[in-house]
Amino acid sequence: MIMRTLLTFAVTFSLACPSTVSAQMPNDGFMMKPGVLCIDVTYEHSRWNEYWEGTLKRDNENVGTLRRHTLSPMFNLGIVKWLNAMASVHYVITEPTAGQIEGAKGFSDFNFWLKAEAWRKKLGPGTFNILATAGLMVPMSDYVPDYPYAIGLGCIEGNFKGILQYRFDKGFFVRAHTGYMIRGNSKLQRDYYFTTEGYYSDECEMPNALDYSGAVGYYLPDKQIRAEIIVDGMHTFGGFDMRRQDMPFPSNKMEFTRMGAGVHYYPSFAPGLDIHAAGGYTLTGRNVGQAAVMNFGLSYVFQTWKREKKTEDKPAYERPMN
Amino acid sequence: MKKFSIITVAVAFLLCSVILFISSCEKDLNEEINFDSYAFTELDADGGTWNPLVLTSGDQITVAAPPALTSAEYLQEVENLKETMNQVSSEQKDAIKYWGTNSVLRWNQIANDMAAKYNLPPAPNPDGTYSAPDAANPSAYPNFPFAMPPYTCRMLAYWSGAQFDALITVWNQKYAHNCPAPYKTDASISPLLPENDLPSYPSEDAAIAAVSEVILSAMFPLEKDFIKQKADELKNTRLWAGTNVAMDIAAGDSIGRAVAALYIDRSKTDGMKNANVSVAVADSIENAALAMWGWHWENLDIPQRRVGILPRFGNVQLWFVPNVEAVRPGPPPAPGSEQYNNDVEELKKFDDKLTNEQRDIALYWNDGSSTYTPPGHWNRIAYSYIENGKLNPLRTARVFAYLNMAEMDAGISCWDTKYYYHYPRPSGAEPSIKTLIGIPSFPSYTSGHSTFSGAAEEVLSYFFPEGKAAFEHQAQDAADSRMYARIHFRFDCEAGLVQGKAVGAYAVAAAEQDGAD
Repeated sequence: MIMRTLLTFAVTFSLACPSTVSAQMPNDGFMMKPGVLCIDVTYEHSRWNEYWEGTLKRDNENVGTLRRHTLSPMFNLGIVKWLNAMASVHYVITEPTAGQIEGAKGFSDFNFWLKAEAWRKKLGPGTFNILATAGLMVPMSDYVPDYPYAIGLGCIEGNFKGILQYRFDKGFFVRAHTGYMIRGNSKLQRDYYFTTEGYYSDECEMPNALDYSGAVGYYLPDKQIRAEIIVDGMHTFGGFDMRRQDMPFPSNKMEFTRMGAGVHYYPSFAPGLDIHAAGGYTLTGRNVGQAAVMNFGLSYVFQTWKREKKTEDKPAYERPMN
Repeated sequence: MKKFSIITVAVAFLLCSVILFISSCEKDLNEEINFDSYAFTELDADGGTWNPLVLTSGDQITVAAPPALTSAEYLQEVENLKETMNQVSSEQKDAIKYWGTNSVLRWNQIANDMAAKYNLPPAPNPDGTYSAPDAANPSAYPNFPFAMPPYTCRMLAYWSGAQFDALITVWNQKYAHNCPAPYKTDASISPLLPENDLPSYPSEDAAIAAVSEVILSAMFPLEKDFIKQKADELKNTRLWAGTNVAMDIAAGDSIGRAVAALYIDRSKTDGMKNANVSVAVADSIENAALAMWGWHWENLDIPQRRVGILPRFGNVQLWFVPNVEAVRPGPPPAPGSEQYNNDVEELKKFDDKLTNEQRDIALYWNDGSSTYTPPGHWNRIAYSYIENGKLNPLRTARVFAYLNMAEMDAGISCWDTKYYYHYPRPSGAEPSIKTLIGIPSFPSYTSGHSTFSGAAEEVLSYFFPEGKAAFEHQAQDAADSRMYARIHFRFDCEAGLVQGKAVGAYAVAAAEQDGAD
């Protein structure tokens, strides 16, 4: 009972917004060509020692620094020219450096997305394209969503994103995306909880959420480097603030803005390989930790089936390209 | 092109399925429990002769005789009632449904929610000290009260004890004056709640509302306005529903206030105001334990809370147990002893590997901050038994009075034991032991959850023998949950269950003698 002096919010953004920058993500502007498969493994590390309890920025000596490790295998397959399918799973470990309450670990959620290029046009010195994704997130283990160091939100989520990108022929690109997340109820291991009033239920209603990002970057298929800087953020529609010295709860109001950058390296000695890394830092937030996040990953891209037109003799791999 | 259109259709189909799937998961939640209205199984016409708990008898407090049914005064009240009923809005009908026939249940839920709302530990001050809530200045941070288990069990005990005594008085006066309900005296009135043959003067619901208003406002001073609004609404629903005339309400209200005042008087001198102590006194209690037993408990929070929760709560006045020594168990096994080592090994095994079922039991019974605590949890467990038995408000109040007074005795006895032995928590004695939930800020032996649950099991088994096996199972789970969470040793929990059952037996012995069975 009682006196959980602690705690904080482990479920931060890794969930809401997978990685700052990595290989072909649902909210970037790049597509895989038909029959091209990208397999990726990314490790992400995030940590914070201050968080926003509602709007109050604070630390918590009973948490110390909360570290979160996420290993995410992922694939992205080009189905037809305008359609890609992606899926990923996350294995998450959370560990506080202080206090007695233990961290959590396990598979959190399974994600699946379809990404479509809806429109593309050569315009002036570059190409303009519009993409849309629809995704589904499903908890894949019996984890505890209202645990102070939870590994996930515990709800089913459908997400829909729109992406605009303009890429100059000389390699610079600008991109913006926004997405809407529709969330089902989160299932709890108890049948009473208090938000702003008491609920006699073992489920909590999750607020829907909006995310967005803006990025500028540089990428040419025949160069070995792709880089971008990105500002992204999220906010929920509804949800409630953590009260003073209260524990976090899955249906808290959550907001953040974050600044980050990422780079991909395509070594010429290993065609198809993509070595990528990214980092970011939370600038503002509400009921989330002020996290610094770093990730590092490897992708391998290869052709699984030949395209119908056998006129070109392409290499067995293709770079992600629009 | 054909391939293109098949894929387009498949994508569209998939999108629609996803949207349908998610919307099907988003079902509506029960924010409040729906208590169905029902006709009472028994009316307990002799209820006015039962023994109250603080009052000396059911006729200690009386109300003036009502005017005759043929008097102009009474007939005018009936006319006023009919006029009120003619104008009942759909909002007012919702309120009638909300309060139902047994408003004791609804008040219980309201009291539980308030306990949950106020059950937050104070945050540390910038200098690393902690402030205690101040009853004289409740809105200063930390707000008064901090409704941890001792506070909540005491709140529930005063509130439900006063309800029981008030309803014994109401029943006594009902049958002393035998004034039938308005729908019995005027055939044109069809009430919006189930009819019964209870005399309607004084109104039981008005007494319940008044008791709740007085006691809960004293316990949660910042909620005074909210509570008054609830109490007024309940009294009004009896007019809107056509079950009582205005004089019934006024008489019931006066009984409720008079009884509540006697309970408030007791609460002022029960020792609660001395239950919290200064750092110096807390240190002296700790040093005494160290000298006597060779061990001592320390709070593990950073910054450290120098004073545990209510070190002198064990000195608060008991209801049924003659004295704390009567149920205080012998000392816990010394650190390093064989039993101690075995129980530490067990916790280390839970630390290594917990099944999902054990984890879920630990979390289900956590009843920590922002919840109604174990005493509130046991009140909630009683709801379905009360509803299934279609108990009248008097019988309902009796269940909650004995349950909650036993819970308060359990809390007092357990707190006496905790600070008498001052035993360390598992993580205090063995720092390698990590926990699943926060460690409560008071000594380990005996477990509060186990003591509260043992007492509740004993009392509820007396009132609802059909639930005995279930209560036993639930109490065992509540006790085991603390080991799975690794915040208690097995010997804390086993001794707590025994202590709680002993406390419960005293309450049951009193209930057996109160004239109701």
